[in-house]
Amino acid sequence: METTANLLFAEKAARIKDMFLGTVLIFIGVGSYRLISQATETGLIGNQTVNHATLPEIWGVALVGLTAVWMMRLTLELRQCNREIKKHGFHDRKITLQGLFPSLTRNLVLRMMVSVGALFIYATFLESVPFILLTAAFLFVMLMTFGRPITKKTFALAVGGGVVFHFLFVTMLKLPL
Amino acid sequence: MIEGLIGGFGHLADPTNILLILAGTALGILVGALPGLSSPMAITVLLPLTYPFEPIPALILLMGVYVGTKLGGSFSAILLRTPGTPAAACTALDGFPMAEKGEAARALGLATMGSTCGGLISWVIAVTSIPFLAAVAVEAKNADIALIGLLGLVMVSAFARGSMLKGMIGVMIGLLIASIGLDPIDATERFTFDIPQMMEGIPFTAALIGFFGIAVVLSDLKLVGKASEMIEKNVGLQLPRFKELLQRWQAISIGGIYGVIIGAVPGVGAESATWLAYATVKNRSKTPEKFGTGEPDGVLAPEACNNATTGGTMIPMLTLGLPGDGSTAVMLGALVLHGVEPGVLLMQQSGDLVYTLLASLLVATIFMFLLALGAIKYFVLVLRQDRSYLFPFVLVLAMVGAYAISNTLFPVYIAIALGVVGYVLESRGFPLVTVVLGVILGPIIEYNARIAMVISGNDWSAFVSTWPRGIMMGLTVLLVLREIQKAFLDHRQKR
Repeated sequence: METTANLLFAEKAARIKDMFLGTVLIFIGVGSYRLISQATETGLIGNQTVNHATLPEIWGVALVGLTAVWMMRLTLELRQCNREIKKHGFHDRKITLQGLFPSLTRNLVLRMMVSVGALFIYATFLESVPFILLTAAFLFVMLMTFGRPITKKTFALAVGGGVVFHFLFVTMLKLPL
Repeated sequence: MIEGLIGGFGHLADPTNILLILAGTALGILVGALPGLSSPMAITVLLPLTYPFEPIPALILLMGVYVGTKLGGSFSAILLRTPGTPAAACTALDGFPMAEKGEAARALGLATMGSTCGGLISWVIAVTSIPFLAAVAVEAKNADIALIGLLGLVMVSAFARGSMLKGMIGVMIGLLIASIGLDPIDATERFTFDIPQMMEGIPFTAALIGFFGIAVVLSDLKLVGKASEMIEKNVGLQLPRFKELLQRWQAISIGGIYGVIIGAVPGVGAESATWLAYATVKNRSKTPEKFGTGEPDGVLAPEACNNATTGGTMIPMLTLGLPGDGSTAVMLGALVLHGVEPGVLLMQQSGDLVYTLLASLLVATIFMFLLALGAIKYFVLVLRQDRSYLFPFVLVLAMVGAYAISNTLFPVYIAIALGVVGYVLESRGFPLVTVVLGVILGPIIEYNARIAMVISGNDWSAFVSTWPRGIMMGLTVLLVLREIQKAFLDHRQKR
């Protein structure tokens, strides 16, 4: 009984997430159509049937159209799912945040956020902090984030990585870092 | 052709070039063996390291990686039941049961032999057909190229993992990303938001790094800290006897031919080809019930098919400038980065490079076989490694690779942003390869479509004015309509 409920609610949660993404995609499609329609033409080539806006407009409309078809299908599936939930008598239950993202554990979310944050910080300081130091620090933080213990080995790996990458990119490839 | 090929092998006589192919192939096998690290990702991350190289050494290194990953993917499919690359998923069906029965060495031997035979079959077909097709492709007009590109995008959506509808949505996202920047014909600003760096458009390599590098790492974070349970019994390489190979020639040839043909369809690649080859061999078998329980043909056919796509994907790449799959999309990017213009004139303008690439495909296939023969025990050691050691280094390579595009931070931020977008799309089942191919083929389609319209005097019928164009247009429209219809029919049937 509980397995059926879990399966049905997992299916419903997946459809809800898809619907949310679909809404974002529709906004992107409509937004890009409107933006490209308002772009000021340079007029370098003169009047053309297919101009700077034609294909992006087609892509925008196609994105909206295809997403709409996808969302219509999702709506049908969601209704079907709701009927099943009602049929099995689970309609008084609500989808929780945990139910909406069942595979996202706290640890995983933390890892993801630290990873993206560390990437932004790494990018921001790439030109201003000595490459070898920044890379070693980034590697150390990432290794710890991914579950490596704070040991001499982890430290050595981070510093070694920094040295190797410095040799590769700064000494050999002469990148201005 | 023979002269060109001799010239190509001549380039490979340089010890540095040989070492680069060897290193690339070894690296490819290692990367391919690790679940989550795919061939496009490896080539993307490696691409910036080739910036200082001449085009030939750079591309043959990437060719080695490309060929190596094809075999490496089967190692984890057989020993972990987790394919190292999506194309090796089919190999797990029979490879893993064989390993469970204590026949790991035999399964690995069949995979290696299947891959090598598939690679050789595809090489022969590619070498004989590319010069001929290149001569035909020169006749292709702008409208033809635009339509081939468009059909390729629809085809990749049809064959990509997940639903075709999601694939097509992914393609549209890619095409919109490709529209950012100055218009290629009249320099009108599009989606630049008055940011000067946006005028040059989204750097192609930054998009690749974002979608194939950062997004993949973010998606695979769930694998971090999970050591894989590997079958350790009887791991080695037991090659099949020549007599057995002859008995199983059908599986090899079906796999090989399917791989070349499907690989040659722009954008489609190996992922779907292996399943088709497997299904065909199973249906033709006198004992189809044995498939899935450790049938040797079930390893030989998909592996032959998988490696045969390497030759197949070269056909559209070297004759039309269209990528056969995600990896060749990155290789096309490498061509552009090294100042070589891909397209129908590639054979005429850089015949030397084309033949060297074809020669390197054969050499990489041979190296792949020899490396597996001599060092398979060391390659499978990587399967025991936890990804927590690997991902931080991949991220540094991705970041510095993006920086090296123009020695500015703009591509780095773009790569991170697209990485997050890619992660969201991937997590909802959108195949990222369709987005990437949209980014790559978008400018090609737009430029050629607009030139075709200018030449035809703004006459839309230019796109259906010859029978090949009519067929391509018809096929594109049919596939799209069929998918839209299917979206609703499937639901009704489910009910």
